[in-house]
Amino acid sequence: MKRLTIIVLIALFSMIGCKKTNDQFKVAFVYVGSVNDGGWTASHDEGRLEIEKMFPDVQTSYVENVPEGAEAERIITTFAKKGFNVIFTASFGFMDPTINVAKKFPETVFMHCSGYKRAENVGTYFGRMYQAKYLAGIVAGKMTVTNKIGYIAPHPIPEVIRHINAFTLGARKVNPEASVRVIWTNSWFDIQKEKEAAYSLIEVGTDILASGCDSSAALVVAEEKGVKCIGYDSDARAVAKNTFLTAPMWNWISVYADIVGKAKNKEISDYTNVDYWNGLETNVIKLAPLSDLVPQDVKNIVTDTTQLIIQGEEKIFTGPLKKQDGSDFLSENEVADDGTLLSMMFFVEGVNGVIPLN
Amino acid sequence: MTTVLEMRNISKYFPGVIANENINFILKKGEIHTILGENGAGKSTLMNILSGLYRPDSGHLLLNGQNIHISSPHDAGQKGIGMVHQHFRLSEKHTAFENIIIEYNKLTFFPDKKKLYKEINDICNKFGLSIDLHHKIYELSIGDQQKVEIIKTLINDPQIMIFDEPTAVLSSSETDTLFSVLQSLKQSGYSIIFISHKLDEVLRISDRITILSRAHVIDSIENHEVTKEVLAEKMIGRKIFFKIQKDSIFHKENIIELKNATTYNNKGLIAIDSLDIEIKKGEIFGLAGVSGNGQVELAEILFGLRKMECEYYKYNNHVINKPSPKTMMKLGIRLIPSDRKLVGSAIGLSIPENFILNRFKHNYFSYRFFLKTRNIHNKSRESTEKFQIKHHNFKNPVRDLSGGNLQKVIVAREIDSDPEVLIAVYPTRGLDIGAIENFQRVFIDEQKKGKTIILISEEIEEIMSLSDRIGVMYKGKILKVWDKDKVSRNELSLALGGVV
Amino acid sequence: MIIFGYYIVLKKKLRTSQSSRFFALFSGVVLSLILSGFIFLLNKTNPFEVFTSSFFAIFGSLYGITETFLIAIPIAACALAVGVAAMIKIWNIGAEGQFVAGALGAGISGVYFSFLPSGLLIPLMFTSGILFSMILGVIPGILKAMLNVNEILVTLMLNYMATLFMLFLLYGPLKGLDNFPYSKYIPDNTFLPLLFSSRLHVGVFIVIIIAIILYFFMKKSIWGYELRVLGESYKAARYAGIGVKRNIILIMVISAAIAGVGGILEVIGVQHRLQPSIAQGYGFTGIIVSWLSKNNPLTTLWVSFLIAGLFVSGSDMQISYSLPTSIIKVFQGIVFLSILASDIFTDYYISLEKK
Repeated sequence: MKRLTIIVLIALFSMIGCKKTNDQFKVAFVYVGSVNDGGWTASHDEGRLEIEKMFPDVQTSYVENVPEGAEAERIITTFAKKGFNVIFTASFGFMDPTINVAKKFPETVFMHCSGYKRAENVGTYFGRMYQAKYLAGIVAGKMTVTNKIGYIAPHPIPEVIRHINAFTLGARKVNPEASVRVIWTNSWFDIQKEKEAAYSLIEVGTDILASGCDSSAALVVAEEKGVKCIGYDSDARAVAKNTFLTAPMWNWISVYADIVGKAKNKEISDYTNVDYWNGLETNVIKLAPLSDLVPQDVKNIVTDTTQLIIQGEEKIFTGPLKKQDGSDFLSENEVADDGTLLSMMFFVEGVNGVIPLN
Repeated sequence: MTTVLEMRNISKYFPGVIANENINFILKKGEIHTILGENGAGKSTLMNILSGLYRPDSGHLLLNGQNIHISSPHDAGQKGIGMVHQHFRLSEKHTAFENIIIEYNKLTFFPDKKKLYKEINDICNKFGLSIDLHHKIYELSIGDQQKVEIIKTLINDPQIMIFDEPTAVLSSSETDTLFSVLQSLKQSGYSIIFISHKLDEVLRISDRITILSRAHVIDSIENHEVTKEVLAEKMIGRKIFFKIQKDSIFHKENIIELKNATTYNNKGLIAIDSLDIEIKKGEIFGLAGVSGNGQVELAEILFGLRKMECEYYKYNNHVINKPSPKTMMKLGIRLIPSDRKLVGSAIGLSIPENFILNRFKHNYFSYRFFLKTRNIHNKSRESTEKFQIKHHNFKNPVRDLSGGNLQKVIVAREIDSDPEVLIAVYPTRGLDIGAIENFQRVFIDEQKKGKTIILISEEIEEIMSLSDRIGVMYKGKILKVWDKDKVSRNELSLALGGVV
Repeated sequence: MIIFGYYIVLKKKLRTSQSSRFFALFSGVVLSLILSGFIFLLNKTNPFEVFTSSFFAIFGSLYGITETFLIAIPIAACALAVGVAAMIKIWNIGAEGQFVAGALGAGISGVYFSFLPSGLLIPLMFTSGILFSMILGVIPGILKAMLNVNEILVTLMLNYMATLFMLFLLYGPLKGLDNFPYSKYIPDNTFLPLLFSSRLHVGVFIVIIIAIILYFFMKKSIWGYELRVLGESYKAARYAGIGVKRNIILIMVISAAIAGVGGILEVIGVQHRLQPSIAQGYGFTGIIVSWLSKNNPLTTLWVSFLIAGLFVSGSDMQISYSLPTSIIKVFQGIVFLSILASDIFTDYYISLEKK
């Protein structure tokens, strides 16, 4: 018995010695959701897997379902301690933890998604998702019969409000009668609340459901009730075969490939001004292929608009635009600058809903 | 007669304790064989070995001449050894029938209930175990519950039946019924092991008596060869005086007066029904009664444990407005409760901790916020010696103590608190005669010091030998009160049944 | 059971001690490692490597140890809270809510009275946090003592009330920057001092002191004695002249306050603000820990540390071996189940006896 114990102990400790010591370039991803949520986190993880293919000498790792707050700080620290060279933190709530940890690890590169705080070794990245939302809005505006479109929204923060506004502008561009009804779930990922929101939107007479949340729950409800729907984050047409129209989607690979490539070659010494915020032109965002429910003329409008946006000929937030309360937002031909977009805390005309303010 | 069971040189040790040593025991077919011994003599351990709960450290078990091992109670049942436990193992909310069939060895997943019912009914009729099988357990009297236990064992058709102190919980008429059942079992060829420490009963029922003392077999004797005095001496190891000599003392002054008291029991039924009672200073007042007639509740209301309505409750001519244990103890009234495990002690705590249970705020045991551990230990060491409380370790929880020793802790505590009035509820129940004799002496000594004692007991002998005045409780009322020398045993027995 | 001609017998131990508690837990851990090893094998990961790496993740560095302590603080606070109440057989399932209430009290006063000097603000945060949590204790306490309402249900429901009330505040009046459900940060000068230049704050001593005081009080004080009698039997307590109702209310309030201290420390020691994920189920973990430590406050301390280690090692497994969270959850579930099951070895030991 004693001998057995000793053998086991020796075996155990020799394992530690065997552990690979590698000086590979290591990239970490911290996710707020689960990698198979079919939404936000899944889109990031697709990017991670692509990185592994593109850079055979890069090792990646991830942690999913990380709560925002102190827990996140520990996980980011552990990654940094383990010698990861680049750490992507893919949720708005990871902003302060990322900044805190970055102070202690000046050699490590941190990239935070969707935030606005940067430092010498902290950059940010995101995409002009509102452009794809605008295109989706066009589809919705064309397809609605009741002129009431439902939108399930997560947190009332500028990013989400910008998306709703762009979506509304798209819809009203092709259908001035259309209005967008907004319901907040106050959570990025909450299947139950998203379902409830979907049901209540259908009850108030919306005939198209658009989701701004991370799960595909709203699509499931739409399919069940026979209401047309627009997804988000990923192409989840499989769950709503008869009602799916399209979905604005993320495609992070271009961003991730660029950052990892530059970080490997130590091309950037100061990340204070590194902020990826590109649109349809770089493919970081795109619209999922329109389904067969969408008539050809609508498809054509979408294709044309896409081209105009890519060429910079059509700016989405261009005057004259009014805010929801009827006051002026943009005058004739005035184009909103990025600063305005990033701090947008009001709805435009045509949105039916309230932003819960402080 | 053939030998059914033989135990050879059985020994069992627990850490620090010799429980059984070199026990030899022979059970013959169709006999009632008593194992007699004091509390803690090793009877229970021996029976637990036989029923498969413990395994002997050495020695052999022979069943019908075959060497056997019993690995579990279930295995014991398979081999034909059934045990009727002292503490019933019944599910209160199920019917007697359900409780019985669940123990049936050959129970199938979908039992044929009609057939089983008939079989059980046959067993009942054969041995005079008349109960209504459809009643739920809590609706049955203690005696009937015991019958359920017996049927549970019988249904598996054992050769040997062990009765572990079966009379401890029974009234005298229930005991009579049990004994007739035992006789008819014996007639049918069952071999019976009967465990008891009540000498009268043992002599009444057994064919053979094996006496156990301090883990050893002292003697094994035929019933007709022996007398009560001899048995007692062998069991205790010293001579016992069965008659306590005591002069009657009569006083005039009332120490407790309770007028027109009414209270309800735990089930919400009337337990005490406009009752009046007067206790004289310095007397021993014996209160007899068949259990369930309100004696326990009376003790509880006198001690302030139970809410009641009354015209007045006077102590030394002062009216007590809100009786509560706290105020009663301040006045010097103390209680030895009937439930020693749930009320009288905190069984998870040690002897010293139990020794201060209802007087921890006494200056000697504590100061302001903290306990005086050293004083507590010294005092309890003193008392354990004085009352000869057997224990393995001071710090062990008192649940490890035998019932008698636990009762000693409680009585020692209450006597040591120097009460003016001591209410003792069933103080000697379940104790062996050695301990009973001790307690009775203690009570008499207390009386000599001028204390008042209310003694509630079901043992008429005890009441008659100790009390100065005797009252009988019947259906929540005091039926009658006699001076000790003005009542016969026969009169008392009749009064217990409500006849005056 | 018979194996190789031996009977396997469970025997009751004469005395249970800290060390028997430790070995019971240890055997549970070993058992769980064997069981979960198979799960890691199914996932094509070398279980030995995983276990050693997570062992070193906890004990291998100052960082691991301090992080484990950091998680152990809220768990220990909740476990002590549950344990105090369980001492007298009151089942406080509401440590989670009381934890949130404590955090809420500290957070609200920290945000709204941020103009106060830290010397005033810190005591204010502590008092308001404790008061908030006490409210959640006094309600089930009074209901139980006066009306005999089941405290399990009441405390369980109050969890939801506390959490939802916090969410209401975070989405409403307390909402801080970015329109996100976070409160503003409390002032820098109220942050608890950190130890070893890690994230571990001095709150760890507060919890240890609470445990020691509880232990000492239970052993030596009159009040502790009353509680131990109550824990054995309410009837015995009534018989001994101990106020049952008074003690039930008192113990619920104290229990809630201890859980509340956990919440307060989480706010001023770690998060520095209120946010929806503040409690993270610590209250429920506390129930398991208190059960495992048989309500002994000192045992609670190191059991909390081990359970915290389990959480730390869980995230380390994900980081080092890219295991999905579901596997980690299964692993943690197995560990919990095994140590709960092996709890029997605290009071019993296995002996082999020859036929």
